[in-house]
Order: sequence, then structure tokens, then C-alpha cells
Amino acid sequence: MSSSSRLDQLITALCCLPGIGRKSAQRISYHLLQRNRHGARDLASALQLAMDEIGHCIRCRNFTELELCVICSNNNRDKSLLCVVESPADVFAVEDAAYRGVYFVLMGHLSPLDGVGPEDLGLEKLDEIMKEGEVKEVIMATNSTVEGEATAHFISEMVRKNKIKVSRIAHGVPVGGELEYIDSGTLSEALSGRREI
Amino acid sequence: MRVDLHPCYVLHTRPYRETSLLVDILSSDYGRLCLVAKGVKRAKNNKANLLQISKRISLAWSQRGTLGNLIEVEDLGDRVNLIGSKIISCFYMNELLMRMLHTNEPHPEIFDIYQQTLTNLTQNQDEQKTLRIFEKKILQVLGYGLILDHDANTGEQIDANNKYYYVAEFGPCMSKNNGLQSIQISGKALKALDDENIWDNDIAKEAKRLLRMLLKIHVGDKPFGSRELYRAYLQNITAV
Repeated sequence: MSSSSRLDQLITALCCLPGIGRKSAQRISYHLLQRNRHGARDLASALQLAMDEIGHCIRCRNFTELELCVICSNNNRDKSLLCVVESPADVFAVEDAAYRGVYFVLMGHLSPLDGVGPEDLGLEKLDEIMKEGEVKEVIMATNSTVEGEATAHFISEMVRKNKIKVSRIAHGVPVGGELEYIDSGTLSEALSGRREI
Repeated sequence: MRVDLHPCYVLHTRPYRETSLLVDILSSDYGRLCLVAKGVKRAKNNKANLLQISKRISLAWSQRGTLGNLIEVEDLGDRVNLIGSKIISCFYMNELLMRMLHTNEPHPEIFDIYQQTLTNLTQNQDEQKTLRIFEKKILQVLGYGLILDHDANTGEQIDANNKYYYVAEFGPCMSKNNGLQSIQISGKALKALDDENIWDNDIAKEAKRLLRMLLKIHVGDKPFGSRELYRAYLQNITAV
């Protein structure tokens, strides 16, 4: 119990952050109050604005405050290449890999035991995009888990029906990796997906 | 209690806190149970890679109450590669076991059945048939075995040319038993389900109806997510 109910309120609110327990929340609260009230006000207003204004892009479903996100509205991106990913964090990762096409964010993967079905992944929207005719290839970049594979397979059937080329990202040896430290599952994927040089 | 490394399958995983997972497993020695896998989602931890459904792995854990704490995971080098609809079938097997089995009840036979069913799925055997036999065997091990070779009233052998009423929790008989749940089924389908040999589309349909009725008694009315996904998948591949 602290000396102020407002402080208690702040500590409880900070606990909603991932990895922040009560003790850390207390430290953050004291730090902000004692040393950085200005920064805290900026944080509060940024949080307020983000929560009020950020929604989903009407095309790719990624987070954005605009109707159409920056990537979808950029005319320099290759609109014929569509990369399907599970989460907005994956968009960040693929962007770093110098990909210049557009995205579709599923916001999850098929998981029947958790009650997540095709209707929860916005696949109708994806079908609409494919029917527009601009997309020439769909790259399935879902995670390399069993659920990710199931999702990739389900969507690939949909893509094929639209007579569009569909590909799956390769799984294998990481750049700079040494074979002796790689697990056998990854290595067997790498071997079966080998290519001619 | 510390449980040493032994073969297990992961049935389902759920995120727990920031970097941990709650893992439902089927153990060869301890049956179904739930483990907390602490910190497995951290970047430098590769245990989460191994905690995938349909892969036979070796697990060790410590347990005090109903939940266990995962200690070690080892790859058993099992390369079961399920593709397409087979993955959905595996989801179904897992969902069924999650709903049929109580936690912390050892069922070594079920582990063997599960393993055999996965192998059959990967060897491209008839998917429907494989799943029906799986359901039949699970009911059998849990003490709700089906009567498939004789009339439950008269004790006479099942005749492939006759029509029967399969009365829930009783068995096949020639007449409908009012008040008890039953469905009509051909002697041919009963025999096929019994000797697991001949199989065709009609048998598949009848066997499915029968097993659905019998499973419903134990798992309740709540729909199976994996069955819905399978339906959506079939629509997806057949619709033009």
C-alpha cells in the first residue's frame, strides 16, 4: 500500500505491460514522478492517441491510424507480390529482409482447439484482394509451427483456386549457422528443400 | 515428484505469461496432463521448437499438484510430416483426447493407439477410416467399447445384409428401443468397423454417424473446432 491512491492506480495500470510485475511498476512510477514528469506526460498522450486512433488497414489488416496503411498506399511497392504473415511483428521482420511487395496480416493462425477458425483470420478480405487481379504471387510466410503449416495449406488452396502462384518461405540453416549446432528437424527441412547451385 | 525423460506427444499449447507456455501432453506413462513450460519462448531457448503437436518427443518434469513443471525436452528424431488435411485430422485427435481423457490418469494403450493413428495418417491410409478406428479404439480403452459382432438382444452374429438399430450404451439390435437414443445402421457397416478391412463411402458415412452419436454422450454438445475447420477446408477445396 503506497501513500497515495493515485499512485496505487498508476502502479496497477502499469502492471498491464508485458513483463512488468508490481515491483517493476512501482520503480517505474517513482522514476517518472521523481525524475521525468515531462516524459511521462508525453507517454500518456502518445498512449491515448495510439489507443484512440490506431485501427486496422482496410486492405492488409495491419495496425494503422490511416484508412490505408503506408505500405498499401505506397505506389513504389510491388503490388503483384503479396506476403501473408501471422502478426504485425512479422511485417516488421519481413520488411528488414528488403521485401518490397505488399502484405496481408492474419492476426493469428488457425487453431481449432482455441476456437480460431478461417473466419477469424479475415480470409474473405484476402479472397477479395486476390479477385481484383493485381496479385500475381502469394508468399506464405506463416510461422514454421504445425498451426502455421495448417494455415499456410488452407490459404494456399484458396490462392490456387484463384489461379495465382503460391509459394512457401524456405526453412533451413540460418545465415552464419554451423551445421553441427542445428536441430535435426530444421536440417531435414533444409535437406528436403535444397536447391541446385 | 520428478518424472524422468520418456516419450510424449504434445496435444495443445497455450501462451502463458510473456515467455512461457501451458502445454497439454499425452504421456506414454502418465496419460494426459498439463505442464508449465517456463521461459521456452525466449529467443535463446529452443525448447518451444520441439513442443509441436504430432512430434514424438521425450519430456521430463516435476510435479506437485495437478500441473507439472517442464524440466527437459529431447527430440526423438521422429519425422512425422503431416500435410494438408492430415494436420486437421491430428487437431481433431487432439481435441477428442482433450475432451475424453481426465488428467493424470495413465493410459499406455491410448498412447500406442495415438502413435499408430499418426503413422497411418502419414502413410496415406484412408483418413476417414483411420479416424473412425481411432474413435472406436479410444471408446474401447475407456470402457465404452462398441458391440459390433453380435445382436445385443439375441446374441446372434451380425448379418451384413440386415439393417440394425444401434442403441446407445446397449448395442445393435433389430428393433428400435423406445426412449433410448439410437440410429439405424447396416450390418455391413457394423462388420466393416469391426474387422477394419473393407471400406467404402457408404460405410464411412454410417460409421461416422454412429461414432458421433456415441461420442456425444461423453463429450457433450459443444461443437468441435477441428470438425468445423475440416468442413471449411473441404468447402474451400471443392467450391469453384
